[in-house]
Amino acid sequence: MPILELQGVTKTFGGLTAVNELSFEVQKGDILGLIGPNGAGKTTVFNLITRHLNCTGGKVIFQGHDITNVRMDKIISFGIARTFQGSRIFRNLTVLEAMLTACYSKRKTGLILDLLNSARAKNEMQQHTEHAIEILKFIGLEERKNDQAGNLPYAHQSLVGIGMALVAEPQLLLLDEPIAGMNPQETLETMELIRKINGRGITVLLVEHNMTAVMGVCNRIVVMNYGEKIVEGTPGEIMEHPAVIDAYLGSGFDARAS
Amino acid sequence: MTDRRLRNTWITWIIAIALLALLPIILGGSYILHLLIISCIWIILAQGLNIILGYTGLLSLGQGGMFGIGAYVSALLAVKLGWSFWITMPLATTATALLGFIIGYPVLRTRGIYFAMVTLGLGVILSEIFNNWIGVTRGPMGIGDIPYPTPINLGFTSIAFDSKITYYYLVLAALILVMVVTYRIAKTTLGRALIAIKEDEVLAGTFGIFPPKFKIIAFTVCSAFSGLAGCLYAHYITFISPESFGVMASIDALVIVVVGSAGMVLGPALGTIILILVPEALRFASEYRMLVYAVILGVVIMYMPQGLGCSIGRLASKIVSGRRVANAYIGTSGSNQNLRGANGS
Ligand SMILES: Nc1ncnc2c1ncn2[C@@H]1O[C@H](COP(=O)(O)OP(=O)(O)O)[C@@H](O)[C@H]1O
Ligand SMILES: [Mg+2]
Repeated sequence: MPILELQGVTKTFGGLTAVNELSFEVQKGDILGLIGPNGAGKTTVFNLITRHLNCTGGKVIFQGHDITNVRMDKIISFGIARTFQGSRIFRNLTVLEAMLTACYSKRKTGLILDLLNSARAKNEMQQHTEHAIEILKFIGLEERKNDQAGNLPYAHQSLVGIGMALVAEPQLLLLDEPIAGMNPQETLETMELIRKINGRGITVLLVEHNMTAVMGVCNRIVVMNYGEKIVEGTPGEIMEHPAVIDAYLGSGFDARAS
Repeated sequence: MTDRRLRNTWITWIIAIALLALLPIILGGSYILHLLIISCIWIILAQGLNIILGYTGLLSLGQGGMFGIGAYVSALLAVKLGWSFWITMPLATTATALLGFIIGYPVLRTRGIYFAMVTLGLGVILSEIFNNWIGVTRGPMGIGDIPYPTPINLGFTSIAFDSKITYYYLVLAALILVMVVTYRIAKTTLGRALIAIKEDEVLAGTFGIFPPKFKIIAFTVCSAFSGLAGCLYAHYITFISPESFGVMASIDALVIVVVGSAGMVLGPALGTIILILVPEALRFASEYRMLVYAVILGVVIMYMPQGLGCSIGRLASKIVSGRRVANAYIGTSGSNQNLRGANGS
């Protein structure tokens, strides 16, 4: 059974159809790349999966549950975490505070017990802090834990976004252009990090423009254009496919790369 | 938190409370006591606003009206029904909290400038009610002869609240309660969720924090603090009229919070000291008081846009850890750590 399944998902904004009858499956353990030219509808697909937007039509099934109409804030407890394009993070918090905030869904103690400083709440806080530090070590930002997140270099901000998603211990992680703005060295490190995340048993859905990265880490790729899936296959198949070459060359891939 | 830090926190609290308790004895004088009582009430009122503005990021301009609800509910129950302060105080606080909870449901659907406008409207409506529901509130004539809190009988002795000194200890106890509650909120999941909402609602939602729920909680706590402040005010001044609970009161509370540093537990206290005590201290030059007020505001807005509390925190950490700040240049240990620690955020 696939971990995530999109069934004929459609999203229209007024007259514009951003996602059109899109169907694909993500298998457990996959690193699935979702690629396509700018405006193809990739971010919109993420927003539909994590319920930041309502589907106009179709269904999203996660581990057998229909999550098409689930409230946005419940998605994380289903086991789906995400990052945002352009590193949307809690900029005015320290890195550690941001990570602790992202632990919210793991909390088992009620707000009142927490306010009363019960032993259970203290204990849980301690566990969350340890877990957050462990994740910071994992993404290589432990040294930065007391720095203000918004003051970090861009590449590190992107990592904080990934760390925040990881700290919630998801089963499916959606990464929206995590490599954008990174230098070649950072790109290689982040590719390695994505493999390590996958090695922890987390299924990854990756949107990324850097073709080297996508081809390097993904085991399957879905190519979109104008809101529709045009091809799906292994990196090898995708690179050879005429429709893909056409979509990219035909819609300003070079212009974007410049 | 390590044991040592925990002990230090306790010691700080105890010293602070002891100092506040001794303040009237150190300073003396009926007028000083009056200022201290009024200041405590203002800090409680401003702390309510701090919860919704400083932590949750929502600018409420209805604070004056909620202050009035607490005052009127308690005063009316005491004057018309003859109920004891010890019953009317919790009732007035609860009633104001309840009103915040109920009104919060529709009002908190708005955000940003719209929320400010709606709460401003709320404040104006409440003020109109105090003015025009003459059968109950006696309109602009106000309600007088509000009784002092009934004496507490301890068997061997009884504590009366008709003197300023005992009333000071009463408002001080209320203030400490409010500060402790705020401190706990700031330190725990609730505060973290509120700050997350202030920072980025969508991101907060992504991590499971349902913003409407937390905004309602914040607005309810804010209202409860305001109601408590109103009640304490009414039974101290013993006379209330609508003009104390208008838009000006909301603006004053706002200025206190902003000058003191929004989003800091001690912010409202700092703001009150600066905006109420300093102008009073310069009373001998009474014609210049508004000028002093204006200068303070101007200086804070221009040179300390994040408020006095933040600036003091930053300065203190620079003095305490000058070395570490220098280290920040080579990027090893972050100076931010110290700044944030001192800011208490
Ligand atoms: N909230 C929105 N309102 C209106 N149009 C939108 C919105 N979000 C995305 N779009 C449009 O949908 C299309 C797909 O956008 P997007 O999903 O961001 O593309 P990608 O991430 O593949 O670059 C674009 O034409 C974009 O302008
Ligand atoms: Mg995008």
